[in-house]
Amino acid sequence: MASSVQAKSLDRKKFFSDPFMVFVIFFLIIFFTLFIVYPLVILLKDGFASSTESFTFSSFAYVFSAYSGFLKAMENSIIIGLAVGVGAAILGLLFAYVDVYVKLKTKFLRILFKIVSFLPVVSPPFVISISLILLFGDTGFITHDLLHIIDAQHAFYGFPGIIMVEIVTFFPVAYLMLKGLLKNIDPSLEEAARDMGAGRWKVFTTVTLPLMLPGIGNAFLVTFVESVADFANPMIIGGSLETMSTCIYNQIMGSNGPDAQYQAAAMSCILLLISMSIFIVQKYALERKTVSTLSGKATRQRMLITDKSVTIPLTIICLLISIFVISLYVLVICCSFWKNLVNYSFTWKHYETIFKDGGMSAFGPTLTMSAIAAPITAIMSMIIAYIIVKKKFHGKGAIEFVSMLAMAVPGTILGVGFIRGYVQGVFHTGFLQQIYNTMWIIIIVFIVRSLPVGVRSGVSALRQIDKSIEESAYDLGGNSFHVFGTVTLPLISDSFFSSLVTSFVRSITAISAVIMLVTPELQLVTCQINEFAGKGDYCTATAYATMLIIIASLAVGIMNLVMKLIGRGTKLKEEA
Amino acid sequence: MKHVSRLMMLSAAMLMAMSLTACGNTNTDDGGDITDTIYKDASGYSIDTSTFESDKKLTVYGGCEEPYLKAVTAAFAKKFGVTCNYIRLSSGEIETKIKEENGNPSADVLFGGTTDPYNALKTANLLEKYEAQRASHIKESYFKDSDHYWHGIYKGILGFMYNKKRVSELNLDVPQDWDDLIKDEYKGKITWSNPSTAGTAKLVINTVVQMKAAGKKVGGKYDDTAAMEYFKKLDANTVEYTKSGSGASKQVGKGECVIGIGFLHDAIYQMVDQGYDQEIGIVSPSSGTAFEVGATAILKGAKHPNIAKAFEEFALSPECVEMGANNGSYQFLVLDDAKQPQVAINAGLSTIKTIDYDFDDAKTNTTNYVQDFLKNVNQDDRFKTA
Repeated sequence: MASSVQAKSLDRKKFFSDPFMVFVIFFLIIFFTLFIVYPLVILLKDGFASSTESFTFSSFAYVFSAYSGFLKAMENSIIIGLAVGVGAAILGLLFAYVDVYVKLKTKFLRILFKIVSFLPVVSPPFVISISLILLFGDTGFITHDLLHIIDAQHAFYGFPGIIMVEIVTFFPVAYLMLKGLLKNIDPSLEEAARDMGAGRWKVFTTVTLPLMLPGIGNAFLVTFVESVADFANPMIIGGSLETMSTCIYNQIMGSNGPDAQYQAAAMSCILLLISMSIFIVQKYALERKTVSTLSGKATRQRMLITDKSVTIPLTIICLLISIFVISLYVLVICCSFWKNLVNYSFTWKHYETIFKDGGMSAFGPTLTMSAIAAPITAIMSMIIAYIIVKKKFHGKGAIEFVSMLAMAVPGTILGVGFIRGYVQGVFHTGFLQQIYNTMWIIIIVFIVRSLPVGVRSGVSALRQIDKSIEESAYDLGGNSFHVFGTVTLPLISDSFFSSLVTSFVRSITAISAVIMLVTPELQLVTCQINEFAGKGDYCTATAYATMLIIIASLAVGIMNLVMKLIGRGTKLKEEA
Repeated sequence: MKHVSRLMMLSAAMLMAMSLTACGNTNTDDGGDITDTIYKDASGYSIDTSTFESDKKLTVYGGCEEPYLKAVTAAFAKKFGVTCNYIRLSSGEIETKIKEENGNPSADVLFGGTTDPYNALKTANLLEKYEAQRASHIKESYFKDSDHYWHGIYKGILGFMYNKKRVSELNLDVPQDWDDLIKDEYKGKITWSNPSTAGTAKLVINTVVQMKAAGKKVGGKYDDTAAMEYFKKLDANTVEYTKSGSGASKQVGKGECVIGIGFLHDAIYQMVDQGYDQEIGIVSPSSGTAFEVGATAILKGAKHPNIAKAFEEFALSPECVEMGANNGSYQFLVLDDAKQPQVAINAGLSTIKTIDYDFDDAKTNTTNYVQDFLKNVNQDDRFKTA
């Protein structure tokens, strides 16, 4: 008894003797309270209110009535989310595995795979939906022109369309997460199994897969929640089918009487509850099985698989998927040069629209705000991940939970939470009202929206670093700041850069959370795309999208280049 | 440590590379044509520009299409030597955003968009009353608010649109009237919008209810029994209820929608501005149809109330409303001294039979009819919200 009390007080002493960590945690708690918890509290408060009463269950009663149709939307969302989560995790694993383990015949293929897995990440919403409609719609190239189905009656709209577009959109997230994990698996483990006579499949199922399981769980969770929160794609390719997100969005956007906002808030509470339950299940069911590879980083280069029975089928599968995904983007670019969707003659008209009518003015703010948000997000994610994995203190679970929350909330809802929460300051006191209608509120939303992905990737990477590495640094007298900066961060630099890049591209392609926060002075490219898609001018929308894709790809390219240089620098030092 | 600082430098470099200067949709003055502080317009309104707020700024929330909005704000900025910003919002967004801002709006006036949110905002006490000098040019009483909270500027007419190629490919006749739409041959061919999200669909419901009831009222609203029978059959033919009211017009050019119900000016926009003139045909129902009114109003809590008043006068002048036809908005105008858009007349909108639409009933009973509609039709996958 006494010793445990002593240990506790020692722990506490150790914790407070580290001023840097105390400061960071203090800052995080304030940030989370203001920008994640508070907007959601406002929504929760609204969920239990109505236009006439400050506390009532009437909004929830409405939401669960057959009349609101929310239950059906919930069912749809869950079906789609499961299909997309499984599909994206499998596809992500496939690409990650091929990327890390398999020796590809040509360098070209490797680059092709990388482009394919990255394109969906740098593309703004709507874009792939447009391509898929062009291919599989009632008058699609494949369905109508090739297969001569003249009376399809929207067969592709709804489940098939949404699931397909979301898998293609979200699997790169899974891929990036799993790639980082696979790279960190020490080849000796698998080689040991191979040496003892196990076949490739046996090794994959008994060694690689168990090591990957938490990561795959994470990938599934992230894509499931992304799918459930996505509204841009279901809006365009969903036909009449509603998901929870479109349901909430429509409840807010349509004029549905004085209580619509409260009912929408109630719906978001339910959506939040579902996402949280999944999160909890994943956390407790999967994380107990976490295996830590002893050495931290892989000790040496992996022997790539050259066995033809493995490389050929995997290469062919990935190649086919790649061709399909690339064709979707080629179609987007083509579309931006067509006169319209039935007249395929070449025109610069849509680009002229962008340059001529001051459409360019949306690019400046978009890039500026995303560039400010990205490094902040990346640094914060790594710190949060570090705290979650390596530190022990009261309220740690809360920080982890809250940092994941923002992703479970559909962007639209978060946006409304921010408007509700800040238009008259925090709790109508005028405190922080200044940020409303400025770029800062949008930057904060960008950060909040991108944090979960960064944190997840950081956590996955950190879990594989054994404690002893950092403990030795502590034993030699380093404080948290030193250890984090000189030991941990270099070990997870891949994860850091992936969240830097991911956050940047997520921000420039973000729409749902910020569409309600843009002002006349502060337009975003995605909102312009939405605007043009909204009036059926898909060609101009795709022209905007094409430019955004080019800019995002350039940014990613530059960052990758710099990353390579840094990586080389580190390697050189190691050798010396 | 070195590693970290390299990362920082990298981030900073990226920031610098990315920080292009930001500018919004701003139309700035070029001096203008005002010599005296009292400006007298040829269309008969006068503005004392000396009362203008000193920062000479005005922000407009627009419910009409962006090019029209842009042209209007640019013309106003030039005319009165002010800076005029705008932001385009859908009708749902207008109501939501202004309600969220709750008396502290980031804009001063509302321009364009159907009157539904205007009425809702008036009820919520979020509009500022203003008796416009030009209001005398709006003849019919239903084109302006009786308490002067908003004034009408245009009307949009409801009708059918179809893709010519698809109709012939599927061997269909072109529907001429509301009752044609419920014939068996159109099964799975009709696209219109979801009344829980689109004002357009609400107008369709009101129109059919009023036409089918033929004046018969039960308990303060029209008898909608016949209308609901109609909608059950129409539902069987409906392939998609789009979320936005203009959904059908956006799909019909490509052919994803075979036959659509919606505003004819939306279809004309697709024909004229998007180049689908060979693909799309439009029909105005032979037994009559209804229309919506687009309006303008000053927001309560506007930071520039005097400039806002000048804007309202300008918005109600032929100079302003006639800009619509040059900027892709082909609605009919409601001012008695404004010219109707020629392109709409050319597209066949000159002989439209409109019903004597009961706006007051629509204001009070729309929710009831929509609920009845959803009760009767809400039985399958196509409806999830209410």
